[in-house]
Amino acid sequence: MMFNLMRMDFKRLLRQKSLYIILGITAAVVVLAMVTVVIIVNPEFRLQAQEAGMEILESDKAAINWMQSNDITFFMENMVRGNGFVTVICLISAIFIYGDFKRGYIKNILSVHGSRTHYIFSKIIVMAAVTAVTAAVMFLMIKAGIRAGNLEIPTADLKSYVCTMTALLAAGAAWAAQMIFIYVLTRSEGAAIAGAIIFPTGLLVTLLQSILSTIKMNSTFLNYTLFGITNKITDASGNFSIGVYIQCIAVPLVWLAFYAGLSILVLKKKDI
Amino acid sequence: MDVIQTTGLTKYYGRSKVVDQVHLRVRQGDIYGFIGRNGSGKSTTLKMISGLVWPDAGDIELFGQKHISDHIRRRMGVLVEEAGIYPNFSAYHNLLFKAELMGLTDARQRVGEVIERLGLKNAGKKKVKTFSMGMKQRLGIALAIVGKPDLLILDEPINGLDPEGISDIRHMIVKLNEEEHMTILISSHILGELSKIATCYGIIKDGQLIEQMTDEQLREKCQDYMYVRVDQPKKASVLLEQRLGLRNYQIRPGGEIRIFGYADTAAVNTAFADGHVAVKSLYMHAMDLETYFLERMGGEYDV
Repeated sequence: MMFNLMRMDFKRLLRQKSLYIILGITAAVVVLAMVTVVIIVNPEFRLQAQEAGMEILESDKAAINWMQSNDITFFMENMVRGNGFVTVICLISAIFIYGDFKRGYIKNILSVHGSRTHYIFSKIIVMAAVTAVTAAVMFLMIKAGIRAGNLEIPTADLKSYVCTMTALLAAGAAWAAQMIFIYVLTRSEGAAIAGAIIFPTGLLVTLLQSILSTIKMNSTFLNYTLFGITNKITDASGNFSIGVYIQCIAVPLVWLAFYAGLSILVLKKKDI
Repeated sequence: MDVIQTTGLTKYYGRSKVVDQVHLRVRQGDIYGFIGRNGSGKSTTLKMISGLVWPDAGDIELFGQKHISDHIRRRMGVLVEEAGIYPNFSAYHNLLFKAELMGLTDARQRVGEVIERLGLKNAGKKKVKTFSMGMKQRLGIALAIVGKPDLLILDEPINGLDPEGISDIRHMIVKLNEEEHMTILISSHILGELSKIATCYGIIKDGQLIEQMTDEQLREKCQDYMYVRVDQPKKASVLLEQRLGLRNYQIRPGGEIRIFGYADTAAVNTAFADGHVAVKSLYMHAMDLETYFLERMGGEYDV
């Protein structure tokens, strides 16, 4: 029966316009970022841009040159650093889960398939697939931008691709689980959307870090929050050491299990 | 066989006991009319039976099974409160999602059949958010029956419909019961409509199921009778038996006599007058479901 639930979820998601709008915006943002990189790197374009009034700092050029000295996966990880990737996953998750509840279709689902556990895991699996697709879209846009801009960025080995993609997948699924929990707990569309926008920015983590720093308390544990571990993926410099890689997989999976467990508990306690 | 049997079903919201020790029985083939005021616990009871709300106490047996597996759930079709629909999809896709969720091998064919049967064909590819209230209710019922359930649970399915819509739904329910042998548990405020189709009734008041009866039993209780109020009820009863040969009557407090199956008010009046029994009040009484319900609710008019 969980297979039927997942199949229904996939079909519904693929028919949802909001998914394509968000992916389209993601692709457009990546393209814009690549265009900016090409303008800064290419001397001819750089000159034209500066003549048109664009301000290109030495630090911008230095940053781009530094990025170009690493392979494509590192380039991609730094795209994730801006947390746009995570925000996309969180928004899609929030919209997907509250769609079931807002109009009451959840009654049709749970009256036929009573397992709250299956319901939650079906959503998480679908969102993991969305994470994979979003990462693939980003990668393809970056690759296209590199080719179009004749940027000299070395290709990565298979290990780097696998490590980067699986780490992003684990992180994305964990973030989705968090968003699902926020909605299931609050049953508020507003809270879910606000969570999808605020949490990926790391605002709360940064705030907590400041407070702990002020009272001279150790805050290294914050590196193991979802925000912290997602940034660790981007710190891996395209070459995951086995230790860092295991952390980037294990920590999100622990968070995923935590939020999934809480979601199931809340869903079992709360009436539909 | 009892399709639904609840024992001591209880639900609290905070300190408020909204469903209190409900023992409900729905037999196979029944159209069970579940009647109660707003806030009496009808929807909560139906939601517990449907698996959407967990009871705080009591048991629910469906098709003789205490453990409600997904196999049992698939034998049930549910429309509780508003129809659960995805507004930005068409009726077809809403139904297809449900059919595929249920694992129907002939999902598309079944969806086509249900669309035809419920008169949704003209909706075409229109998004459900453009539907009228009546169309949405039809879609809600379609979603409930797409899996060919043996048990259909409908919570206020005719709310908000115009008379034509009400009539359509009523005929559809009767047809589902007669042709597809569906057992139907239906709650409604519109007692007149319910009395046209229900084969048995349950009346819930303040969370308690105060009465369950078949349609036949209801008719007996609502039976037409002659109402007479006299000053000497014992003497009056002797006169009824000796003068008129009547045995089918009831003496009630306050000098009230109810005479069943006899409509000659003049004969009764004459008999009492000849016997020097003063008649304070005399009329023919007939009660419909609504009147019976209001009497059981304590006379307050708020169905």
